[in-house]
Amino acid sequence: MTAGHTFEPKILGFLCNWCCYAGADLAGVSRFQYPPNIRVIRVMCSGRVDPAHIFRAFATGQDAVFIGGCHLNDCHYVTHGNYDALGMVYVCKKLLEHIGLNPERLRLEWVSAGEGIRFSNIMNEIGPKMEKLGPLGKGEGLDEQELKAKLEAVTKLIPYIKLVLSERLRVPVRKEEAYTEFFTGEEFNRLFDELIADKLAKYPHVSARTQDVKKETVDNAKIDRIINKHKGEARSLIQVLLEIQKENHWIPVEVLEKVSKKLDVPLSRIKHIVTFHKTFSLNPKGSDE
Amino acid sequence: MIMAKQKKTGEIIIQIDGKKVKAVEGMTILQAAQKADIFIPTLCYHEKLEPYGVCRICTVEIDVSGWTKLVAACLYPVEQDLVVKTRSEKVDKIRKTILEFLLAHAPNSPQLQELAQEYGADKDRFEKESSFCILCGLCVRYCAEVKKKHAVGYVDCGARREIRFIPEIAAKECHSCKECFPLCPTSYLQAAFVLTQAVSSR
Amino acid sequence: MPKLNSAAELEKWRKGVLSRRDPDKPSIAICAGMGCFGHDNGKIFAAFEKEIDKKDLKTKVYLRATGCHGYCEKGPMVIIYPDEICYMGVTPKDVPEIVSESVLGNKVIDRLVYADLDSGKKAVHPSEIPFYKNQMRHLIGSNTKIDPQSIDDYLAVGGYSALSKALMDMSPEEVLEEIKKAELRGRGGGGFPAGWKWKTARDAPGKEKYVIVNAHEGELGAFMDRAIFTGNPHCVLEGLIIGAYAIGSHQGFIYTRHDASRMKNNIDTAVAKAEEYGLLGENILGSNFDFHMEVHLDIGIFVSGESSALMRSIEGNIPEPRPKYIRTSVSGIWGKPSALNNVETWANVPLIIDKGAEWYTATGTEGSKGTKLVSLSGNIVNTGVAEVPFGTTIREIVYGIGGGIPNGKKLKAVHFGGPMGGCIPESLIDTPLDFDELAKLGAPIGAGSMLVLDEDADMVDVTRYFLGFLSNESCGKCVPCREGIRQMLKILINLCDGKGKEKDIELLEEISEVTGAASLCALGKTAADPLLSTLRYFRDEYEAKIGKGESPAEKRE
Repeated sequence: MTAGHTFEPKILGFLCNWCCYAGADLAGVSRFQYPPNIRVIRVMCSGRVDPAHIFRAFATGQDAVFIGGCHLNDCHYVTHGNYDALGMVYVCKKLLEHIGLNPERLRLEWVSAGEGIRFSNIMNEIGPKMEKLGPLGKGEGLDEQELKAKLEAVTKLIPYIKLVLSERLRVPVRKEEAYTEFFTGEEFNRLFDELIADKLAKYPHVSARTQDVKKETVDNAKIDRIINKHKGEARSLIQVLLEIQKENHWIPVEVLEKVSKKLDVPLSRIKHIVTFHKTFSLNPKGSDE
Repeated sequence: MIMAKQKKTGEIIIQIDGKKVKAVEGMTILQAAQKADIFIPTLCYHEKLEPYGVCRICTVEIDVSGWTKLVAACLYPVEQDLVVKTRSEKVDKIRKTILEFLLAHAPNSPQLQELAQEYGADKDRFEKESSFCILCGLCVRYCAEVKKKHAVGYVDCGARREIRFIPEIAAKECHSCKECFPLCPTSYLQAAFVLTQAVSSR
Repeated sequence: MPKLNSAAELEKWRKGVLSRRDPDKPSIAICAGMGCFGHDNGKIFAAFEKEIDKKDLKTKVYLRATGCHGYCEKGPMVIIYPDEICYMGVTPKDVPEIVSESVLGNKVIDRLVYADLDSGKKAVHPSEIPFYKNQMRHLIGSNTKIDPQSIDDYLAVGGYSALSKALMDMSPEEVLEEIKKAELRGRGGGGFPAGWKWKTARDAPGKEKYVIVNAHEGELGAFMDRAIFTGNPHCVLEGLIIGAYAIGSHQGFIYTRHDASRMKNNIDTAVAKAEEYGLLGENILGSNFDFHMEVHLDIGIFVSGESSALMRSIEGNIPEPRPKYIRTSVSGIWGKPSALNNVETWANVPLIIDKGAEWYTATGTEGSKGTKLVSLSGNIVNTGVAEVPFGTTIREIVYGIGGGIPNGKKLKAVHFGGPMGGCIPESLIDTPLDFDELAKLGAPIGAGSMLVLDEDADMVDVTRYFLGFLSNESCGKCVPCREGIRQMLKILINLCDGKGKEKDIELLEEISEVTGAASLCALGKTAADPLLSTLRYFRDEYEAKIGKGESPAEKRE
């Protein structure tokens, strides 16, 4: 640590019980020195670590997350959980990059029980590196609120991301080359963009968004008039929606719900009709379109 | 829809793969085949739901008044002296290609994999698509016809067609139900559900 | 306006209308078709009104904004009757001169009449102008004399006499028989004999039956239905009422586009006027036949022009097709027998009843009787709507009416049927216009749109364009169509970008086989037709794109 330096990075480590944790223990017993910034959580397998843990760590003030597991093909369990950890870390790194954080903040290493030196070397390397990167967010030029919102958005999406990971981002062969090939390939980038990045963009800072949208007052009388003109018959659904679109230039969700109730038509059918073609707009349009 | 109430219980004899099969007026080819224990593959068919006829994997070859046609067995109504072939070169080619189309979306679906083995479908024939929904519609139709809640529906059209939960209804109804989840041949339904939850939580 | 309660009253009214019209009085017909509308014909109309007011000619001249005259290339068009002087490319500045020279005077303004591109020879009357004289304008000919907002204009040209004849002098079976004898085939693309469809609907069990006008016209490059329906909505209405009488239907639906506001306006006016005159509604002309109309708008998607999807839309459901194992003429809207026909098909009906099936079948070929409206667009000198008898060769249409290819280019192919059709190469343009002849060559006539392509057209790009269109307009319900189009489009885009791979063509052919055989509706089944057609006649262009990215046409540049 350089003199006068005030920033001390907070690092959270998830160490697998059978290899890495033992390795860290060995480093301690053998008096191999390394910086004290890392707090350790022992897990039974590196495969146990969940994206939710990682992002919770970042959200609660950690500047870096370290995951340590057994060497590939040496996992204590027949399920080779360390491969799951590998796949999960590739996705999380891409997520970090996507929201504007340095993916180096998430580190995955394989350390066996007898590699005390290796463990302390890694720690000696990470500490200064993270110092250089600076505090989470600030080091990348993100302001506090923005960082908080982005991390929240990702956290909300995690159950979905996990399903995508297990269903679409699966590598059929448990071999390091196969994993490297897939996750550095074009297909992975494309799938990530279309399945995850796309969703993040559409439902980003949910809480921030509702503040942005101006509450447009809907002219209920006008809507009622249109519905009554068609005698509130279910069969006139499309004509009613077309007229509302024409008069109002867009159709708010509350109006869809109202039409659903008054015409006794399922909301899902109405939603399908209004998204079927670009004729309908579910967002307010500019005033001189 | 098509198979309405049976007005007459007229018995009809049709032929499936050379075998004489007894059917009743108002039945579809698929129903008659299932009754006679003849297997025709399906993906979007469910006995509790109105047949939808969109996966087209139940396509069979029929001979009607000297014309050969390819029709969806789950929708085509039986008629006297109908001759049906459940396997042929054309039929197998269609099924193989349909499977390859769908495997580009959901290569890990067990139903698709099982059929792929039978028809020699290659899951890497087409470039992998991101969406892993095969749009069989089982979830949408189950919720509409059996549960009558309409909590999940379609949006958009063409290649952009998707299933989505209606957040307002899903928030109320799905937690204690989820009966559609096991119907899904992939895990897209679950993914769509958690996505909706993520979106609607304020 | 009291209701007309009998055929006699109708004729009396008609005589009255005609007697109040002076055939020698000058009449100015300004084309208010869509093409001319785009050229601000409203300003021309206003200019005429102003000039007529200025010269105090209100009672001495008839002024009409009429339906489409057909010669869209030369718009805005103005015709001066009774001498039938055709002025083209008119601007508001020309109006005072037209009024003084041709309306008040007897002169023809040379610079505004048709001039042959090569020889410069002028032609003033339709009987001299190649575009018009080579046509047989049974249906669209009256457009120039009718203001679509006026029912009296339609009566003045003999309108509703067929309806009167059908209701008073013929039984429903006789009307049906006449249509069958006339061998009227559907003009929307299917070419299915209308008489058989009507008979199926008539014989189907149930008292409630429906008749539908499909005015959706989604086919790319087709704008003739709009020309007829916007310009002369009454002739379609008349055909519909006659058809309803033959089938035994008392409820009709007109399904049209939500974005064609002028057409909708004209239809609404026509329906209202027909009701006012007693030609629609209860006890039409005292015949005891009731018939009511409803106008429905579409959402905007191409697939809603498909008959079963259209019927779902009228019910208020999403416009998705269903397989037609049970015909819609047996089970259509709400499961009731529904006879759906195209605008042009209905427009032919009054003609057949008026003049008889024998007269009608004298025109056309063995398998295709009557005339067909075609819309010319693309690389052709004269764009517009033309009406020709079946049997006219494509060459005669492209060169005789269309005026050939501009800029000295050579003709490459004529594409029929839009995204669900095919092309006829230059070597085959002596093929007569005929449902079966064209279908045999892989280019079914469709709705009649003729997209003319010159030697610079890249056929692979044309196919890519059509498939791209379909991929946005397919409902996406069934796998072969949705996925098949998706994969074919990917390959075509790669071919166009120079990233074509070996075996791409074979893969395209294989996918198109599955899409064609296993799709649920006609959109999916014919989605690959442009591809198959261009592969049949222009395979070399595809092969050249494997690994290279240049078409033979581009190489020549």
